[in-house]
Amino acid sequence: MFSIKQIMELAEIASLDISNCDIEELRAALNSNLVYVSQIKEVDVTDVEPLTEMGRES
Amino acid sequence: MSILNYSALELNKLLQKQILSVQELITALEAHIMATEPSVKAFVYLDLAKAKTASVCLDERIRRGEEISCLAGVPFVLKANMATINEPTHACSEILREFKPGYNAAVAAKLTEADAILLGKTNMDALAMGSSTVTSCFGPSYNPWAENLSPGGSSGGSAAAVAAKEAWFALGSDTGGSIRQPAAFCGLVGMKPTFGLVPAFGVVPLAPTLDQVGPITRNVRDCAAVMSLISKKDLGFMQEVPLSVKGLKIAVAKEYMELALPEMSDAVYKALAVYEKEGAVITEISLPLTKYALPAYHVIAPTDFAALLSGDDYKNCPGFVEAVKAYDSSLFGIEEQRRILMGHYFNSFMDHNKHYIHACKIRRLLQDELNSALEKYACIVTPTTCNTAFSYSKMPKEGKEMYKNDMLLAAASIAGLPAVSLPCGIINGLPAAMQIMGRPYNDRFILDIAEAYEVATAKEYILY
Repeated sequence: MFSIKQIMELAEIASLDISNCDIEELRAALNSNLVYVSQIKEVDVTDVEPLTEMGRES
Repeated sequence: MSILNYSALELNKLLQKQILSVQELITALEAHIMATEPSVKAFVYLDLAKAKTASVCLDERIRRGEEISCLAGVPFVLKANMATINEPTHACSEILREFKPGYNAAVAAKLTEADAILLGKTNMDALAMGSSTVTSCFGPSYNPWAENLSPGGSSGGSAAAVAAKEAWFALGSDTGGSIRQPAAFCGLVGMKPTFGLVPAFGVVPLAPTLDQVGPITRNVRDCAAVMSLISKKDLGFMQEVPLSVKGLKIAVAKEYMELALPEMSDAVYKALAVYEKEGAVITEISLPLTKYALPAYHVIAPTDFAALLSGDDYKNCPGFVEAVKAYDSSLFGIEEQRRILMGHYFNSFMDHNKHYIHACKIRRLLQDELNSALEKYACIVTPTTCNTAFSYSKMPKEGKEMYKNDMLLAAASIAGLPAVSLPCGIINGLPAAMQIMGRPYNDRFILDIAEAYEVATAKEYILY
């Protein structure tokens, strides 16, 4: 789960000014998103090649 | 019949036969837009003077007997993330307010070369991050089907404009459902083409491995006509006689039916009964990975976007990264900030393998699962959305609850498959819709299947 320190670090990496944000609200939203997407870990992906690019017809 | 009620192809015939001039059409449409727009708020940029200039030239060419395209003279709109030379291309984000590229999006160029008449640009969720238009820096658009109703998103303004008859068709962009969901909410046809079939040059990116441009129209035949003009491959025109579905194997995915509200599933089952009556063979199949498509999408899309912003430029939308970096990042809206932070997190050493790589492996599995089903069946039919359009007053506040609007749409996006949404009934006064997914590059074929339903039900497009 995200700590406030971690969010500040990420904002710095992203060059994102979040000084006028309600940081607690932002933390709650990010943590909620993280819980939601973490359900992908239920799927066994052993020996599966990641699909990172899609072919475009030229 | 009012000219506003003709389809795009019918309208073009009236113009070709000189029963109506393009100038008369634009004049009549202007009055309609002025009367309708205050309650719909579909447009964020309207240039009727330019449309009138184009109409004068086209009328002259028609009078001279020149051959014109099937959509010549037909008024259309672009989503506000599609570039036109020196015109606002802000994607309804405060951060891009001043972005006016010196080039046209490839799709805009193709349609204007075909003499379709561009009216302007339509509202959307900021940077296409949303499913309702509420994240637009211009405020929301309204669905003409009922008061205070969202048209969906992110291409909500495009759908609202077509549903309100302010335009005959629109182009939207679909990264995780942003054409199909608003088309479904507004009782229209919306198509996400096969990934790569329609050029994405000049479209403000959200996630380059997912972004697609496609039409929102009043009926399937108009949709096929727009697709034939914007695709890189020749899709051919639809035959006069619609496809017979006799003997066609159609799959219905039970997980999708279970995720949708019962009344929505019922509407789709009724549509399937129509196909069955016409001779198609319906089989229920299981696609167990369906529920992981949306969470995987919400890892891949923000990671793609964060990676874009970390680069120098994006060749498909020159100047975009520079324009974002030139502005005060505090101008990003809350949803934009959330997604950028999540993307940087998934893309960082803290997490990269945990979520992003895992999501890309699920993407592979999902693609295999769908392609394997499509080897046995001509198409897969599902509800487009779990529910009908929602009222702004009942809209969920939390991001992840809103994301669920795209639950049935993300799989086709992740797998790069063509998918068309079309109306299939009315639930409590609002449109229900089904989605037809097909094999890669079978875009025309799924449109043929969609049209077979329209013809069998003798559907008249009742717009609000």
